[in-house]
Amino acid sequence: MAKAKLRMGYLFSFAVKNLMRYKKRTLITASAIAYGLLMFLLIDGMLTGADKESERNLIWYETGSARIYNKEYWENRENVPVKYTIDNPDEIMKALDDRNIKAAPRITFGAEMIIYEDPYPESGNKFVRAVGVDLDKDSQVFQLQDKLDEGRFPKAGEFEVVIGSWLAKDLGAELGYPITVSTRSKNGFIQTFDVEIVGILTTPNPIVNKSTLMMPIDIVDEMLLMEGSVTEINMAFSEIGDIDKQLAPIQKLIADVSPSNEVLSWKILGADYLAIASAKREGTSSIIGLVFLIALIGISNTMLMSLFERRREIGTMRALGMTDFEVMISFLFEAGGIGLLGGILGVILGIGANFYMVNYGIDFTSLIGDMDIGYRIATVFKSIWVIPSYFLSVLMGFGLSVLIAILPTRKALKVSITECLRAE
Amino acid sequence: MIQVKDVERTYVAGDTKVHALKGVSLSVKEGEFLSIAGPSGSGKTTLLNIIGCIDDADKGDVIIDQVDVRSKKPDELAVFRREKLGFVFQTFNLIPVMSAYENVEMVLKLLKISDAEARERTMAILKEVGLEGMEDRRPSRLSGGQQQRVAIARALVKNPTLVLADEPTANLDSVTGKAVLDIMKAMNKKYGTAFIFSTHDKMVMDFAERLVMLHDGKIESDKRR
Repeated sequence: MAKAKLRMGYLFSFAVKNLMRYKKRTLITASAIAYGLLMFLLIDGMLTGADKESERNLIWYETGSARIYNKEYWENRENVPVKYTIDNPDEIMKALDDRNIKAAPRITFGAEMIIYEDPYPESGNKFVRAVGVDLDKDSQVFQLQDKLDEGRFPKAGEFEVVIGSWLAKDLGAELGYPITVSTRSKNGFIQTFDVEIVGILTTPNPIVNKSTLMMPIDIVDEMLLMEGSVTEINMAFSEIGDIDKQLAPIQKLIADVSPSNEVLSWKILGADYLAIASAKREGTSSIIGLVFLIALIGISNTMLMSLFERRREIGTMRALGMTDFEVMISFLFEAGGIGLLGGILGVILGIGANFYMVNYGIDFTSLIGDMDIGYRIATVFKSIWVIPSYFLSVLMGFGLSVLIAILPTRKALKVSITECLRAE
Repeated sequence: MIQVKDVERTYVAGDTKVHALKGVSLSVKEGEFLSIAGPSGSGKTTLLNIIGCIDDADKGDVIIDQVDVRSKKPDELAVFRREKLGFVFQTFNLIPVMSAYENVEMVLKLLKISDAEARERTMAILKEVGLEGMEDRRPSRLSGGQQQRVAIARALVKNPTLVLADEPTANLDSVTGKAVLDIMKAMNKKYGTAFIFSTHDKMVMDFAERLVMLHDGKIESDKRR
């Protein structure tokens, strides 16, 4: 065993010598691998960062950690129905409060928003998803307190509204402008009322920015004849942990207190987003895969050139008594060396590039403006450190380089020794 | 020591068949200093390759040191070459990334000989071929004659049964070629190692103790002097 190790060590040192002999080629090929890995680390960090921040922005500004609905609501959610309600919100709120769970009731309803020329640039209407909020309780669940660009939050009992900044820009709206809201009450009657814009909101969540129409819950309750019922109760958990574990006791509680209702986690509420994010990641991963494939083709090419140029040397080694396996191991050590060097270089470059991306990120505001690109991130995309990816990069650089070198080496060893020795 | 019997070898290139050896038989005794000569295409390199176990005959028997080499698998042949045979090539074929010392030491490393013994034997043989003080030079910093001396040292350092030299002086001037032949002769006498050359160089032919002339794939003459 010790002698076998000795020979492996010898083959390894032989490979290192050859790598040093073709310094320029080794460095160029390793650089191609390093570039591939740099792209992988950069994009992986950005995508993971975007996913994490999107999840956080989804929870903080859109869904909360979990939500209680009437059991009929979720199936019909596309219609934003107000007839499937939680009829005993106070009782549930108290039960949640007793367990120190932060919760806020809301009434979400679909409405036609009507605006008129003067003060708006032009008249028009738009269907929106409006929401009535309990302003005191809502701020305990959602992180909207300091997100006002202008104005203030609506006061209870006043026909006032806060709108998202992208929506305001779209409408040409400013503080003090009126909006006419036309909707149906819980009983199905058409109800129309006017509200005044008192605040414009900008959050890191683009969906909130482009669709928020937020007014006091008591006004909505009165206009929609809700009689104290609400469409949902949102909850916030202090930590983003295993949501199913966190949800289990609450589901039991709701089943006891209010069996006509159910509890849904943010993962279900944001399932559409999560599906899009997953598809985006797969698509981007394919592109990274292609970049890396190009780098590997570089290795394969380097090995082919090296094997071609050194045919006579290979013939000599075989004539002197090296077995084909030993010659192959020597070349695989070389390929692995190039891959390892590329992996280490890639990680160093990746750390440098990601350091900038983690601390400063890229501000896409001027590029994408108020366009929704699927992520729940409005402006600055930042990376996070995905440490396992750095170890994986070095392993990939080494492992894939060795794998990719097997085929050309085997091919070279199929050439007879005499033919190798005749090579110029 | 070497029995070659009725060996035939045919190369096929496209539709063309080249009969390189047409039933060659040859015996070589221990410690012989033999030259295989003949014009280009006479089959001398083919015969040398077959005896050196780096090519296989189509027909016939090849017995070296009582081993039927034609029945061996490629890896077994590699081990056989490693242990029993030394090679000296026309173009020297040293490994460019290795120093003179490392080129010679390599064959001992393959034989799993300890570092200390390998060092002792390598230094000794390099001294014998007149390369003392040049051990650390890479092939690119050695003359043709010096490179061929390294190749001879590499072939002899493991005390092989047989050294095969394919046109060892072809790339050397006559003075250097003579010096290289002198070294090989001296080694042959000192260690009793058999040498087989292929050549069409008259000086090498004159130098050999036994001259086998090949013509058109057959042995034309076999003379001892």
